[in-house]
Amino acid sequence: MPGTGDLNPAPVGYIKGLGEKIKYALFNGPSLAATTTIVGIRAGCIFGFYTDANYAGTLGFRSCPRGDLAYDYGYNGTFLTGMADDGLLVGFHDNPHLQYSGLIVSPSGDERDYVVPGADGTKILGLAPGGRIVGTFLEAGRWHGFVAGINGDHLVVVNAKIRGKIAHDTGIVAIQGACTLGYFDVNPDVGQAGFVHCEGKHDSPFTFNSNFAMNLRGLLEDGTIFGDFDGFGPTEGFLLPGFVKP
Amino acid sequence: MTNIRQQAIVSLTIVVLSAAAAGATPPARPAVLLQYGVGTQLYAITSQGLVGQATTKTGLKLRRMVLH
Repeated sequence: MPGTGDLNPAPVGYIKGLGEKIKYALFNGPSLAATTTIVGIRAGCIFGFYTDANYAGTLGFRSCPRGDLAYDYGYNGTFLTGMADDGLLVGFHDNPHLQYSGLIVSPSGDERDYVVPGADGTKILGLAPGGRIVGTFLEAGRWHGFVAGINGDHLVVVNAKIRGKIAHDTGIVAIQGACTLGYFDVNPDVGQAGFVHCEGKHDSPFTFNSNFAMNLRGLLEDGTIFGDFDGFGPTEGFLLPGFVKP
Repeated sequence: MTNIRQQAIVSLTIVVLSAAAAGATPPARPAVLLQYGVGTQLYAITSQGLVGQATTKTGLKLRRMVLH
């Protein structure tokens, strides 16, 4: 029950302020969610995604003082990955063919899909300064990173180039100043590493282990990179303070 | 959003590691690992702190890791 008892052994959202006790939370929509992931807090609202009580699918959510909303645009899943100060939401969802489409929800609640022209699938993985979106799209069996305007204009395709070789798959998650943060597949089947591209410099890859899956989430103004990784044990979060100089 | 628990069960582990980014000039760079339970995903650093997803807490493992 809310506020009492032990947590069930299922993933829940958390908020951990500096010097404060950790707060755990489940989205309480039509019914109490089975799992919850908090992706961010913006303009007084918590947003993310959750698994419904019957584990029947994943839905996005936005929880604000003025009320809660759930977003169900997908066949199996809807994931919110970014929110702007004006309330605009971005993310992605799947369809019955298990293809992904980027989604953009306007501050007034109007949803539209975004797919990179000609792509077999698109995921919007976040918002970047200047009202841009970042993410990854599937074309000819490979995922490519991209940066574009919120309307899909000024599309720039980004592929990690590691030691002179184009990576098999690439995704872009954040931009800070002259630096872009993303991930790439170390091999087509195993291992995902992070990379940073700063203008005028070679792409700089990093990972704890080439077999690990590094899930990059953000790049701060001071150059700190953060995210989590799946390695030999349970998933762990990480911070790399001052990793780059944006 | 309903807080279902607000209790000092934090098992915040900070491990300073020697780290180096391959393919770049490899100065020692510290990495801070976080684990609030078994399985911790870190999605954002917000005005209210770190946010993400964690599973029920249990013991912690301290491991020394190096960036490659």
